[in-house]
Amino acid sequence: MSNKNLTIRRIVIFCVLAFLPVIIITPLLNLYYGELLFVSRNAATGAYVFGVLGMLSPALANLLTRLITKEGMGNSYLALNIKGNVRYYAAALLAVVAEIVVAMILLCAVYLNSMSFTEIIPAEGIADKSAIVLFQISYSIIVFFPAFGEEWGWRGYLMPKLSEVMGKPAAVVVGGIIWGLWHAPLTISGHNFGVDHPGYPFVGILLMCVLCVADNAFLTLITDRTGSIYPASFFHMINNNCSALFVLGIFGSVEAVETADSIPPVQAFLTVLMPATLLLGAVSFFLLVRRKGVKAEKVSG
Amino acid sequence: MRGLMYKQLMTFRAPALIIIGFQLFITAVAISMYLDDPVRGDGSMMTAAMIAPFILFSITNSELFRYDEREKWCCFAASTPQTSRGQVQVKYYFTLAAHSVMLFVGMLCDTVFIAVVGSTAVTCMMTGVLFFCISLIMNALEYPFYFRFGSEHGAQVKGASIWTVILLIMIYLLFGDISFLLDGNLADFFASLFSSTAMMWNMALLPAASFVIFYLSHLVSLKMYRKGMESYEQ
Repeated sequence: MSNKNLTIRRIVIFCVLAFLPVIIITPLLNLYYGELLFVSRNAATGAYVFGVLGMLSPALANLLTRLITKEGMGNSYLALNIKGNVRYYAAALLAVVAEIVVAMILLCAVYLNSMSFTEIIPAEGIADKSAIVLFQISYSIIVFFPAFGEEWGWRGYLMPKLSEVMGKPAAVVVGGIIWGLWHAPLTISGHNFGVDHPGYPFVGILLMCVLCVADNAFLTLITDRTGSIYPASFFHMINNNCSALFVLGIFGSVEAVETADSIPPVQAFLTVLMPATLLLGAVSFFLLVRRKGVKAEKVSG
Repeated sequence: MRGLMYKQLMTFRAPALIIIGFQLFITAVAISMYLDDPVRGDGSMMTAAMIAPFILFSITNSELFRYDEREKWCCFAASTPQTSRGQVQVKYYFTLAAHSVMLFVGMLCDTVFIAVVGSTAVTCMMTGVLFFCISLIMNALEYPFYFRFGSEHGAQVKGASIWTVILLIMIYLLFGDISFLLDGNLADFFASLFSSTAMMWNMALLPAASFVIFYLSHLVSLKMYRKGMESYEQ
């Protein structure tokens, strides 16, 4: 079997193994609780159970594919590689904080523009509230293992294999779409967008794919540059544990929080979350492609 | 380093199995207790399952050092490519890895408990992370003693340090100002203490602080190792 065919075989096996648990677990949980998971009274429980078991499935798929295809543990991306890569670790943490800040600004500018700044964020108790937000970010460690589970699968296995087959730019798009489709059973169960938006569930699945392509560009970039899966895992863990709406929920006035809560999820997704993520994705995509160009120039020179 | 980690795993195999086994046992008991009565599933048993491994690790951590405390072994170890630095670092890497595994297994147990018991179950992951950090700090304080005085004497020095702190607290309680304990309800005092801004900041900074202290401890241990090996038996 040629190298390319073997790589394609490994990609297929990996995808089947990564998708299967999610396709099985989500409907089972829906059946067990008797309602769609993320719009039921068991939403928190469902999110927690899926967050742990489902998010570990790409890592498990990575491990099993290596075993099945006798690939061994080479290029596992498990080394920390901190030396010389501190800036990428810092970039991972700063990028997620920057995304939250930009989303907050957009939220205020688009939906809360009839209120003054002090009406949105009252001055009293700022120290207490800052401690709560810092607490939330610090204790994102809780989400580390699930985030690592996804990253080790998608960025630590699928992306290098896709890049081998189709080159990095195409791999970022295809890998992002695969990652987005992996969320489809959740989106159908009401995750992120609920179930009563126009075009349910296809609009949600499509938006998730777009978001995943953008995030995939940044996560692939930092994984590629460091040769380690941990910066991407740190980004993912904070991203899953802290959002602009959470920060507004802590700092914001009752009126501001009520206004934000009344925004339909798809609309909030498009206008508040997407812009910063798309910008980050576009810059990362450019850096990924440009680096390749510089390398090619050096080789030909 | 991979070889040293493997050696460390082999020497710590029995305590590791006991720790993980105990964690799984408590989870099984918790599930069997609350399966028929999910309303009572308040998470106290799972809190125990989350905390117990870290306490057990602190009790058994001297096992990590016991087989290395021979002067000739230390001289040989210093001559290997990893040098004495590697001998020190592996204890820290192993401790971090063991803590991560304990937290990971705790998380899986907690998830299974929540999935089975249902929506009334309370997650204990926050407690797990809290004890993960506290245990890292405790180990960071102990290891330099172990490297300097050996695990046996190190444990004695550690014990003496703890007793000194307890003695100082008792002296303060006998002769110091304890009006804050006597005025009003003690439970209210602790409730207000944990909800105070200062405590929130401390809790928020604990994870970062624990990693910094752990790293600094490794630097101190590097200095202690050479001094310590001279005092080991031949």
